Amino acid sequence: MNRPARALSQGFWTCLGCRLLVKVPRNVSSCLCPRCGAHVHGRVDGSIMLTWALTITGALLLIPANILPVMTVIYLGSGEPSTIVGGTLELYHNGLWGIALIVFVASVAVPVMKLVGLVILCLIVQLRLEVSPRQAMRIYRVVNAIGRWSLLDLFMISILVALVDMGAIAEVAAGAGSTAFATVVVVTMFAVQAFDPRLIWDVYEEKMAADVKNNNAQGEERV
Amino acid sequence: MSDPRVEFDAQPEGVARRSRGLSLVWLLPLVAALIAVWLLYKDFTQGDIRATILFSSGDGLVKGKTAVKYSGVEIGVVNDFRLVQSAKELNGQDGVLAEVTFNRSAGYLLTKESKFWVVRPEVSLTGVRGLETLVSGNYIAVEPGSGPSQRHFVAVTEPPAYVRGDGLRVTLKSPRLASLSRGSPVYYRQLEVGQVENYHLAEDASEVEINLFIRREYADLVHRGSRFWNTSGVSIQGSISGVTVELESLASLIAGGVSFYTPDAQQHSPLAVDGNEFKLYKNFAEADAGIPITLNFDRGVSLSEGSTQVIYQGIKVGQVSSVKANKNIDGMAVRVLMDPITDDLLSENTQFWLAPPTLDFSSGVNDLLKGNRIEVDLRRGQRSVREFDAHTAPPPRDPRVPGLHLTLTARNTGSLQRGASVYYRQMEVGRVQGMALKEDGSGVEVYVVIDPPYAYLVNNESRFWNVSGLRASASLKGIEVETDSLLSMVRGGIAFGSGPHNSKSAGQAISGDSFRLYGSRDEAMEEGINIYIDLSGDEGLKVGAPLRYRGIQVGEITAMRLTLDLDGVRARARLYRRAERFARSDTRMWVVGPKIGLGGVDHLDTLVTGPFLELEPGAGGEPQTEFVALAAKPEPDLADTMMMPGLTLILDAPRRGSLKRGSPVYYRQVQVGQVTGYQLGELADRVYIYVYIEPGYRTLVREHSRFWNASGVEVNFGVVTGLDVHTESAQALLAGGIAFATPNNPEMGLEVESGSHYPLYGKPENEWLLWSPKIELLPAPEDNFK
Repeated sequence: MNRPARALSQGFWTCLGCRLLVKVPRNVSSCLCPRCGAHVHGRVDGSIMLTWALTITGALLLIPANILPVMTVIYLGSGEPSTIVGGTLELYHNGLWGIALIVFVASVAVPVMKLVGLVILCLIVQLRLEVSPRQAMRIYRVVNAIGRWSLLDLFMISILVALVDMGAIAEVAAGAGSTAFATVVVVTMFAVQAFDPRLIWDVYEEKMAADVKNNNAQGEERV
Repeated sequence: MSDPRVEFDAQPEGVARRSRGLSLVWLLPLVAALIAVWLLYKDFTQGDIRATILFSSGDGLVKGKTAVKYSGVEIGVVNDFRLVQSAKELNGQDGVLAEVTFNRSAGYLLTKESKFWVVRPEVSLTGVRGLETLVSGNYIAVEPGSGPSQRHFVAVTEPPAYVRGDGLRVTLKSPRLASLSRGSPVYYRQLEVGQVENYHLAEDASEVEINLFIRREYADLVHRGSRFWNTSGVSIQGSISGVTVELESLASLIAGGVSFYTPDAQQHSPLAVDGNEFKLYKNFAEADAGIPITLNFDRGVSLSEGSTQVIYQGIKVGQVSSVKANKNIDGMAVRVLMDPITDDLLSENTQFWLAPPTLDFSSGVNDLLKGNRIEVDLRRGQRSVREFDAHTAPPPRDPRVPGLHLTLTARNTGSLQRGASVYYRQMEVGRVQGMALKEDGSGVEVYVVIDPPYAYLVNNESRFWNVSGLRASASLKGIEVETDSLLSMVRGGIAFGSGPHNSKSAGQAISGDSFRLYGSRDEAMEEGINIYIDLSGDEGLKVGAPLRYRGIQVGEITAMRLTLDLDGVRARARLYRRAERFARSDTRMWVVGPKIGLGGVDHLDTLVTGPFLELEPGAGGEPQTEFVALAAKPEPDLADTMMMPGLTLILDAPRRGSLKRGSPVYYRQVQVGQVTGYQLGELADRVYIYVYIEPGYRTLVREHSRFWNASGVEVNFGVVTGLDVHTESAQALLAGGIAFATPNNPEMGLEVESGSHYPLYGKPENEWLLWSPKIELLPAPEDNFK
């Protein structure tokens, strides 16, 4: 079984600053890069913990983001603050199901998917789940890609707030929900950043190594 | 594998990392969790309450739009509707169940007794309500109640009438609702102090119960003894005694209304408390406290309910409240509310009577026409009486009135009325109490009372006369209208003064004295003589035509009648004082009427004033009272003019031409005399024209003077000379005239005497017009100093 050699197992770390392979001294959890002086770790420092924290933060912030109104359209002095879901439903009831779909995807589906994806990734790493690392990497890539698209909603709100300012006739005011929602998007993007996808492969490698060991042991037992 | 040049001896980190326990990054989820938990908690505790309201119809309700409002604030919104089939709350009717989300803060409104109803725009006479719903759409209003909390409601169809606010709530009982409605105002002194909350039939359906709400700040105006009456609509009661229009306000005209007041006697009754019951009176007169009494009239009289007053000595002591025929339909039973102060004066001696309408200027326009009034003579008696037999006419005299009571007798009363004033020098000093026919019908007795302060003015020789009506005399100077006062013109009046022979010794009059009532002041004061004048009757003289001498009235015609043999008119005239000397045998009188002729206009004023009799006293003569009026002013005859200082000539003319008395006589177009008359000659072959030349010009007439007729106009027209118009004067053109000329000095001849005859030529010869004698005129008689 010819498996690819890993730098880590050879005692090398990659400096994430200048991508130099650094020979790791013994019994050290981190060292400085001899070339650029950055901290060098074998894997991203506290990656899983940071991802977990940020993911949980995002998940919790989704609650205010959905309860608090994201914006208030005041038309002729009367208007109701609308939440994300309420606004989507209203769009849908008014027959604008295309826009409703976009808003729904951007502001409901994407954040939820991201959080779900992050949770899955963290669980794979944490619980050493036997998942195809390729699948996990696909999840990682998707989560990484769609992160920023949730900001679409916020751009729309900010543009409306800037454009629709006609005093008493019509006015759009952003609500606290939009702040919470923006925070969710940013926090989840940080969470994706904090996740080190090499951990997936570490898990896989460990598994493979364990399998080899088992096989050897079984072989020895057989022998 | 190792690189000889690069020794990968990485610098180890100086210090090995301490384990920092929990990373700071966990603060983020902690904060997020706090926020989320707090929001969730808030949402849970302050989130919307869901409730349902069952409507009988969903008219005007819009899903997601229709709001529930309380005190003008949105407290919820209708989320959704469901049809409910045969809802038992709606007696099996189909209904609409609205699902409403309420604000958490409105939770206390959702109780068992709360009432929900739909507010729709409502435009009615009493006002516009719910107009805002035209714009905002209908909304659901709520009236909070009490009781346990509840989440399912049945809407009411009518807005509950309950007025929110602190106040007094009392109940009125009325046999009829009388156009009151919810929200009808309650007035106190025309000030709105509350409103009608609700009304409903009493349980036995015998009357209507009306719930009033009086605002707290006015609640202490309502006593147990207060009286409420209905001011709905407008009550107009009209009659000669005035039109009573009672209208509390325009709003109450339309929406109805209730007014209340507290009679003085009830001011100390305890304050009303919630739930007190009052009677609702039909109108103020009913509500107004009074002693109800009944007057029986033996015939129909004109009285107006609610406005005819009962007067005692000019003071209102009661008011007619209802008038209806009595049981036998042969009279009227009038219900009167008397002022409580008359309580112990309503006895068997008290008398009521109907006072006829009078005109009275003395107390302002509103009393100008006092309609029928009931007058009362209140007297104490042995027992209290509440039913009276009233008289339809006032008693003619009332000896209880203080003052001097006199009886005046007259042939008729003129326009005298009961209550007319008695004047002394145009001061009101008394009143006419009444009038009655004498027993034998030969005249009228007028009973007057002179006020005590003026009683001394009447003595035994006073003369009373009637000053009713007005006297107008017109002349070219204008029209004089004479009346003692406007009041006496309409209502009549009596004046008195000292008689013509006012003596100091006349004694004071005492009550009960009788006097004669003269028709006018002149009658009363005149002492003149009556004379009798025979007239032809076609002069146009009338009774009252004046007798004048030199423009001064010295008497008047007082009566005219036909003579017995119907050939004329005999007039009785009275000569005024100081004019008695006209009643002598040689006095001449003639009728002066308007004369209009070419020669001028005379006495045009008599066109307006009517002809009058002109008197001309003679030199003396015997007293005489019978005269014959001449038809015209006596002309001075020839004998008269002969006596005059001027020159009287007689001109013989073939025809009279247009000459007449007064035609001018010209010398060189200067008037020097006039024609005094004319007559036919003895043989009727000529006309004698008498000419009088003024004394100053008599020297102008000489033996050979030539007279010609200057009347008319002479028009000569020649081709060469053109138009030549010749006339002596414009007056001569119209009135005729005579001109004369005297020859030059040698031929003129001597002066002449009066009575000389001259021929009157038809027209002058040219030669005459060229004469220019020099004649010295006589000095005027005044120039005696020469």
